[in-house]
Amino acid sequence: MEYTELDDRDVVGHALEGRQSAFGELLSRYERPVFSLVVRMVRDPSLAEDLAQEAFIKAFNALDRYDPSYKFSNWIFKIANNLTIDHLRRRKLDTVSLDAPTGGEGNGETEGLRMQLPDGGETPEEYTESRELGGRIEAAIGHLRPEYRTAILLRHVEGHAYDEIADIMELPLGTVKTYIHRGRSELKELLQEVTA
Amino acid sequence: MTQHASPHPQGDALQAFAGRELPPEAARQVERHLVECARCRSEVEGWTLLFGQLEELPELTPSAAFRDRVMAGVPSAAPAPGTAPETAEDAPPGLFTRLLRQLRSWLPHAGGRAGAPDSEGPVRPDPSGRAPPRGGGHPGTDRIQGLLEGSLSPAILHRVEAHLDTCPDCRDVAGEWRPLMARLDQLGHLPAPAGFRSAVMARVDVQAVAERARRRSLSPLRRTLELAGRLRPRSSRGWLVAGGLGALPTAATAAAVVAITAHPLLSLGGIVTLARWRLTEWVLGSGEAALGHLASLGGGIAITAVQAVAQAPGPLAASMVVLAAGTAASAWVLLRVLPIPSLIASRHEHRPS
Ligand SMILES: [Zn+2]
Ligand SMILES: [Zn+2]
Repeated sequence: MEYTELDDRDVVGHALEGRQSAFGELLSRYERPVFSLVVRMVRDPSLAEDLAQEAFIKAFNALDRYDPSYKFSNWIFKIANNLTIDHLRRRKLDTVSLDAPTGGEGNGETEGLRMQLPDGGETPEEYTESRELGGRIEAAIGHLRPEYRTAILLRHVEGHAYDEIADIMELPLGTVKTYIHRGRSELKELLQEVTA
Repeated sequence: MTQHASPHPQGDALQAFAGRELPPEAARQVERHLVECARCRSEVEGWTLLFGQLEELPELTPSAAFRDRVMAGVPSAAPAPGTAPETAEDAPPGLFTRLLRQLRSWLPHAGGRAGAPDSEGPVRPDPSGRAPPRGGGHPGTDRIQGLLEGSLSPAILHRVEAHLDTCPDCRDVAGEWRPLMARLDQLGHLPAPAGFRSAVMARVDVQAVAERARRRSLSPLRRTLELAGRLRPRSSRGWLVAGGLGALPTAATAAAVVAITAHPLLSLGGIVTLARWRLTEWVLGSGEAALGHLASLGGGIAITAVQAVAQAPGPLAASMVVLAAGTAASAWVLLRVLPIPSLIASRHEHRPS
């Protein structure tokens, strides 16, 4: 079966007929995009692998309930993003609540991490990390609030329109625009701190 | 973001654009192309960087008004106003550029630009060291970003482009944003780990999914049940209304059945036999004759019911009590829970779980 000509909706149709190869086609279309999003969100490749696999497993096992009037890519990104954000929230609760008073959403995290931004004198592990994820811009993205990160990655890596991002993130359009603009402003600032 | 509406400008044009040597119309064309083309953006970025290293950025030949503004904003730590421009006028462009940069880095970083997305929240120093806005006229950084990524509506795009044509300050800002936007567009995808697919498929029950999908697509009953499920009351008040509305016809039907079957000559079996007999006749006989039979059957039942009522006052009284109670309950429930629209509210979600 040759799927390359078919759009996602038709491939899903074949998958629902029980064809393993159609699931494979959906994976080959979205495993890299989904994994890329998740790994840039959690900045831990093996954890990202688990979360991205979880997203596909969840989506595929519920494929019979997928609404074909909805874009498959938006659906899979929504599932992956929900899983990832849930994970980050849980992790934050586990770590932050122990040693820090709960401050403004995400601010403590951002400030803390900003100190670790590689700046010429990187520690060895930061160095390998920034190598793996392509250097300073990746590291800077890693220091944004998770919501900003998702929005910016969906915008620039996936080329999604703002309203699609709003749909995937289940947020109002205006909020998404603000996240993206603020996120970029923070990135610009972070990158300038490093090069200055 | 990958399909290009316009062809790539030739290398010379991009270089000239980076050097601000293009006439406004041609520059606008390139600008428009850059909005949709990461490749050309990065080429322009390269030229801009090169020019910057040579300290021959034409964009840094400022207007007199801009220079005045810069000088007016210099705090006391800076060289005395008035001397710097003159020295700069005589100095080679490279020195002038450096001087201006230095001056701009001394400027107080008050607030953001008008309409900037980060204007809410704590005031943060502007790392670009850009001069504060002149009036309200400059587009905010959100607009500049929108211009660079091609997300502005045509009307706003036109306004921002027109502004940039006349405002070297904002062109600087756009130039500062361009490298970041280009780098973000170049992020791309990372390879998925080996064995990703097989790990996923090992935990997907393809046959079960297909079976559920098949059942779903074949059974209209299931769809009816789902629809009923969506119309089902969602609160105890909703159930009260449904109960009240249902009580009246239920009670009336029950009363009629009781009254009819209470007739000594009428049994349930007898009614079924009669119905079967009439139905057979309907099927065998002509339509017209059958219609006649149906009319006589209906009339017969009505007469039988009236006779039953006359001859069996006990069950009749009981059914009237039930009927009255049902009606009263319905009316009471309806009065209590109006308005009804709140019951119909139901949300449809795309969430998978
Ligand atoms: Zn191009
Ligand atoms: Zn301006």
